[in-house]
Amino acid sequence: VATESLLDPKFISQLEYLYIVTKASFLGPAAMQRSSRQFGVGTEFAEHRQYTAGDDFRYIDWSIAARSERLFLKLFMQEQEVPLYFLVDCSASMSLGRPSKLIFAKRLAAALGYIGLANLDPVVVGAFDANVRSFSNPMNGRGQVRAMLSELEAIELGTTTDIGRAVANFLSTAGRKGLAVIISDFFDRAGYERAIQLLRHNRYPFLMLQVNDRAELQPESAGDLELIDSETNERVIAQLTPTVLERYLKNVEAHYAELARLCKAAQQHHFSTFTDDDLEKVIFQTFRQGGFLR
Amino acid sequence: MTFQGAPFEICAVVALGAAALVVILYFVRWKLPQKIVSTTMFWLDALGARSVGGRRFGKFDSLRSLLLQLVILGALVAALAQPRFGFQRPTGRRVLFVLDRSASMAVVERVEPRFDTARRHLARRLERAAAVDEVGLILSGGEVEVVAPPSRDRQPLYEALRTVEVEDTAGRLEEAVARACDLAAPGGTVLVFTDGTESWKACEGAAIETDLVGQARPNLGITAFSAAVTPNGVAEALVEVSNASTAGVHAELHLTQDGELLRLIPIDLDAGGRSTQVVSRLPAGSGRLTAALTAIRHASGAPDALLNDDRAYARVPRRTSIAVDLVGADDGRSAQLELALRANQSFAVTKKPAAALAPSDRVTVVVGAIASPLPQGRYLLVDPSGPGAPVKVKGPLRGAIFTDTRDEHPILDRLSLDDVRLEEATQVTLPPSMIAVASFEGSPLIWAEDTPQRRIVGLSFVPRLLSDRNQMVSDFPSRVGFPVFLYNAIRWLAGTPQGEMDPDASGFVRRIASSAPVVVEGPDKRSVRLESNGHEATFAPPKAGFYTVKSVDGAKLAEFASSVADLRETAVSPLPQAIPPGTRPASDHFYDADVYVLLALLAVGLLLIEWFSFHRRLTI
Repeated sequence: VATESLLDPKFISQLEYLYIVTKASFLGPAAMQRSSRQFGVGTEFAEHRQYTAGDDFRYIDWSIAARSERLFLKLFMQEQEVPLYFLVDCSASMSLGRPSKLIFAKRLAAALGYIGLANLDPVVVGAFDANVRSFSNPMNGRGQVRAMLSELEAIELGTTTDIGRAVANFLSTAGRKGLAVIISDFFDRAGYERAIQLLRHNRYPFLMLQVNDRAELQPESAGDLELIDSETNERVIAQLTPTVLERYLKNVEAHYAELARLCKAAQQHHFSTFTDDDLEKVIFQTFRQGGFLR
Repeated sequence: MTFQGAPFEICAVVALGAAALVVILYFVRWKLPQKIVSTTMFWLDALGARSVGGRRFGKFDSLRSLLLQLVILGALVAALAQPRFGFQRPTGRRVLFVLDRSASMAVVERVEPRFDTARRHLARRLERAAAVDEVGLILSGGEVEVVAPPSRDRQPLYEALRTVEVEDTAGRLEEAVARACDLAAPGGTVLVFTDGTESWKACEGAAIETDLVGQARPNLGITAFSAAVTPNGVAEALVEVSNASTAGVHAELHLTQDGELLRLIPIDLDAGGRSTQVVSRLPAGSGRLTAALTAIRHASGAPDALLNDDRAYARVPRRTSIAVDLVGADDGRSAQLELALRANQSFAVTKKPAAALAPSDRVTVVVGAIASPLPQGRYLLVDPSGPGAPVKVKGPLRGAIFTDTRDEHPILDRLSLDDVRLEEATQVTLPPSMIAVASFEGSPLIWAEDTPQRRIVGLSFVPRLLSDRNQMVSDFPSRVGFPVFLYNAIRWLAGTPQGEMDPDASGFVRRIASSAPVVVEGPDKRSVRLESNGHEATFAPPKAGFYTVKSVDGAKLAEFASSVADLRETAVSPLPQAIPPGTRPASDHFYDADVYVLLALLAVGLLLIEWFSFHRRLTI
């Protein structure tokens, strides 16, 4: 996959103005935005404080001193950098769809990663199937965009999915605490519950990005078929009657409804996308309206 | 193991060929369109199905399917060959079914008549018999009938079972079982389907099994009903009613003649009681007599079990006059004989000289010497002598009594000669054509001959009380039995008129005197043509009622009646003592059934399992 195919230059320019809003502060649970309460060097004015001995007098507000004959310091909001960990599911089931779920997942990771790099956040890109397959070094600043895209392009299809095991492995590998963005179809026979439990236990904020081929949630009746599991090669003889399709949809919806419920319970984001969705629309509407991007 | 069906070699070739075909078809079997999905876990739940190759031992699924198909094929080919194993009898069994169709089998048990139950049981056992078993069917009741001698052909049995009906007659089960034993021996089995009211004798050389279909039930019935004209020409009827239950019963007996009520007799009987009524001086002439039991109320409250024995039928015989010629010396020896003959209104006596013997259809009574051989005719010979006597006279016989009598002969019907004394008699020697009906220590006193040309009854004594010297000759003329004897002898000599029943015949099979074919019309108006053997035709009436005998051109010849009227049939409750020792209940012959049926069923069962496991398309 060419670099250009992951991110369109025009689209990249639109991403410049976005930044990721995390719902959990690394400095305390009360803060509900990524800006910290820690004062220091910054661009955004916060408040004035009376001068005390030892303060950097470069920040004295001389206009107030002239009016009040007392010394006050101008305090600015200091911005906090947050590591972004992108974990892309590369199991065999991600090969389905047009484009494939894996490519769509890579594009999502690329877009969000670019936003992170533009906001000077460290970005780490990883891939997993039954375990973590790759894990890049942290990348900072726009200068690392090409490196990030290369990391994403290098991700190849794996075998079976085990999200719980992969997350456990990620937690033992990751350095600083940061936002974990898991992009997957979440078709895991072992279940995704363990992964969510581990992230909550380690106080990692996370985003579950669900990527599906539209045919998976809107299958059509096709009579007698031999269904082959893309990961296990298991074969099932099936006659796809309306009744069977109805039962299948019910099962799938219950599966994802449980995922959404667990994310909501953890006060974390969960988004559902399809591979044929417009990426721009997903970024600028779905994510922004969902409060993940601003 | 032997094979009863297709030859083994052919079956082996078919099996190998078909197995090869199955294997080939198995590997080139129809392939379904395949679709790769992200995961099958939701489909499995939705289908409620198993995967084909993804579980433990799943990779052996295809092999198991093939093995099952080969087993199915093997079972089918084996069924085609019809194997018989060591635990089965290699040559099949011989089973004789005896089906009781007597009147008591018409009793309705809880849901159906006994006969229907027995017939159903018989059909079921017939179906279970192996193809190599030889089966036969004998019907008892009325005339014992061998419907089908033992063979492997089931068709006659099924035909008979479809058409056979209960007959209003007694069982004759003993005779039927005896004939079945003869056909089943050695080593065969006689299977008797009956209600257990009749007995039979044990069988040598064959096992007897029973399938009893009856239960104890109260019943009142007419067990005897007949009408007759007495020797003195008076018509009378005898009716016997029996209560075959363990409680009392009340009923009304209606006796009608030609539809006119003669008597209405109330009947009250204790448990097992019997009532005999004689109705004498019936209206003159012939007629149809019917006895019917009505308003039967058993003390137990149960309904009367058998309806067929509640009505009985009889026909009052016609009073016929028999022409009798009395020939002989008028010396007083025949005076008492002549007196007795003339006293009977049934005889028209004409006295003739001895020289008048000539061929005649009339009965001729000859007393004393016979000058020349007797021509064709019917003769009552009294103390014959002379050159024409058909017996050889040896000499006088003094102080004789009847020591040996042939009681079954018609001329001794209803007669006892026990105390009769003959002071004067004649010793004679009989030719081979004659039989001694009564004799004294080997010396014939009453004898008879029955040939197509002549019928003769002979007496070796003169039936008179005193001799010429006024000495005692015999007390026979003074006995009540003397006119009875004369009546019996004259009637036997006269014979039965054409189309009439033989009055002396007894039993189930009626013998109709006729030299030509006759037609018998039954109470249901159905006619049966009977062929004659030259002098009689036989007929077993299946239903109670009146039968009309006609010539083939439709002229009415005679009439007779038939009834159940048998205590063995009225006693409808099974008798435990009726079953002879050694008789076993009917066994289940399952293991003698053909194995190929089981093999075919096995193949069908495996086919269903194989289809359900590996080829099921339908999801409900």
